[in-house]
Amino acid sequence: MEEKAKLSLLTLCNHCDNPPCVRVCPTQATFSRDDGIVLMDFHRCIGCRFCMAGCPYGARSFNYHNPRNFLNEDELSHDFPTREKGVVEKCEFCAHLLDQGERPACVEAAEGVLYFGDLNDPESEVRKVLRDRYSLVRKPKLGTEPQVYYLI
Amino acid sequence: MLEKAIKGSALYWIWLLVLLAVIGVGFGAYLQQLDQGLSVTALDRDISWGLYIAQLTFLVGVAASAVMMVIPMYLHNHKAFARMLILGEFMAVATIIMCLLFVVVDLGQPQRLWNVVLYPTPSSVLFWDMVVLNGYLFLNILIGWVTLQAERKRVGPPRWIKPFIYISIPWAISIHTVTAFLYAGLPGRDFWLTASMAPSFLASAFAAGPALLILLAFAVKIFAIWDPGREAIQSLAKIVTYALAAYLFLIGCKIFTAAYSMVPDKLAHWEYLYFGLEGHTMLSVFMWVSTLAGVSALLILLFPKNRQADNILAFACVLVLISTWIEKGMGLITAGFVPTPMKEVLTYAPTGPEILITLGIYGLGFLIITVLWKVGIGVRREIEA
Ligand code: SF4
Ligand code: SF4
Repeated sequence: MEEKAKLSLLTLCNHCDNPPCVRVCPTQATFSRDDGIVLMDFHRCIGCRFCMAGCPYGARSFNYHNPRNFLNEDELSHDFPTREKGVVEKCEFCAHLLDQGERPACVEAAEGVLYFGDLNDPESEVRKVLRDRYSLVRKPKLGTEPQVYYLI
Repeated sequence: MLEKAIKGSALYWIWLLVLLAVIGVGFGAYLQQLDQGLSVTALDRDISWGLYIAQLTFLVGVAASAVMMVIPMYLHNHKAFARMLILGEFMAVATIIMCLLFVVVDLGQPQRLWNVVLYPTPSSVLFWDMVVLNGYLFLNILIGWVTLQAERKRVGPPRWIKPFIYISIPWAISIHTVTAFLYAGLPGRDFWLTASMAPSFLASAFAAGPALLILLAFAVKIFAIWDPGREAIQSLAKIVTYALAAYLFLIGCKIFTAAYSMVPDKLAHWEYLYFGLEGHTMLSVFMWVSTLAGVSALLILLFPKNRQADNILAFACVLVLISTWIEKGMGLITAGFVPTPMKEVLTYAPTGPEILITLGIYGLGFLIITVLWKVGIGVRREIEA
């Protein structure tokens, strides 16, 4: 058998269509937005970490430390509020950029490797790529309906 | 009745002072945690629940086990428990308070706890856990207090309390079932994703709770010079034996499913639990202690002669507590998270502050048990004098 080299993969939040993290949250601090993006309300989260146990992909992390202790004032972007300790964090698809009509920062930085768009729109760039190339989602058997596809 | 709590021997006051000291140290550690966040714990992104949630899980079982006296007493008229039932109910009160505190100290933002009430979310099992735990606390305080007051006046308990007593039976089952559902409904956590979670939680609870009660009853016999009654203790010992057998049987069933199916996602957790993976063997040492303690306790308790000898019974009860505390605490939680969704293997060892906070909450629990039992036994003495 041929040895497979270890690949580095992005294991970001899948923004599941049927997200267990949202189901288990006792305060609705994590929720699905109408456009399908799974977001956090950092001011409501009580830090119970049930959503971390509920996410089958290890896509959530927690601010055990006060994140502000690790910030470098000079490099701060003031477009976005700093975070606090004791709440859960996750990939938000840069919802604040999307709301300004921009694309997520990772997609912007990895031009031509990462694609982003509306899966419900047959004419969107993502749908075109998915039509042309073979793709996988992580753990489809669990019924979480991931919205992040890995192109092969 | 509370005045009985402030009249006690020197030993009583020394014991309370010791507990207060333990609580004080734990509280100090909690202040540190409040300041520095949960970074003072050994929890991380992958093992995100640990010692605190393990205690919650274990103690909910102890609290639920009061039902093992309520059922024989009220449904089967088993009068042997009449003298001791109040102790079981008060123990349930103390353990539920501990459970609620373990939830609170585990929160990253404890001051927002009220959000669970402000934004009630029926889809969340944690929401239901809060509902049933608080309900059970209320039921036990109410039933314990009203029946004790009636006894003091030497009248039967008022009729209106009966429905509450009957409701408390399924309610006790519910608190542990819902606690099991915290785990048993999570996709992708194969160690927990099994229908046997709630039954095995109940089995280990009905072994651990009565075992603790027996030990506390012996302590009362020695230190308070009040005998809860031989027949009651013997009935509890039988309950421990049956429940312990069921608990070990269910572990065996789980191991069979994982080992025979050889599905890697299931098997890996059990391998980690009992043998360790990639050199992470700390937990497996504890698990062997747990299993050996459980099996030895069963071998001891199966023989009526052993159950009837107080020393041997007490020893077996200690073994039961060791076994269930490890299995349902650190074993269950850590092995549920490891291997992680990214197939990483890790070890979780609680830090000093975590341990101190945990001890502090136990200290408070024992303080509550001591004071409530003092009142309960005082009233009993009054009647029997
Ligand atoms: S990947 Fe995890 S965090 Fe993201 S939506 Fe799915 S379950 Fe939630
Ligand atoms: S940690 Fe926050 S987002 Fe996650 S389940 Fe708890 S309250 Fe919800």
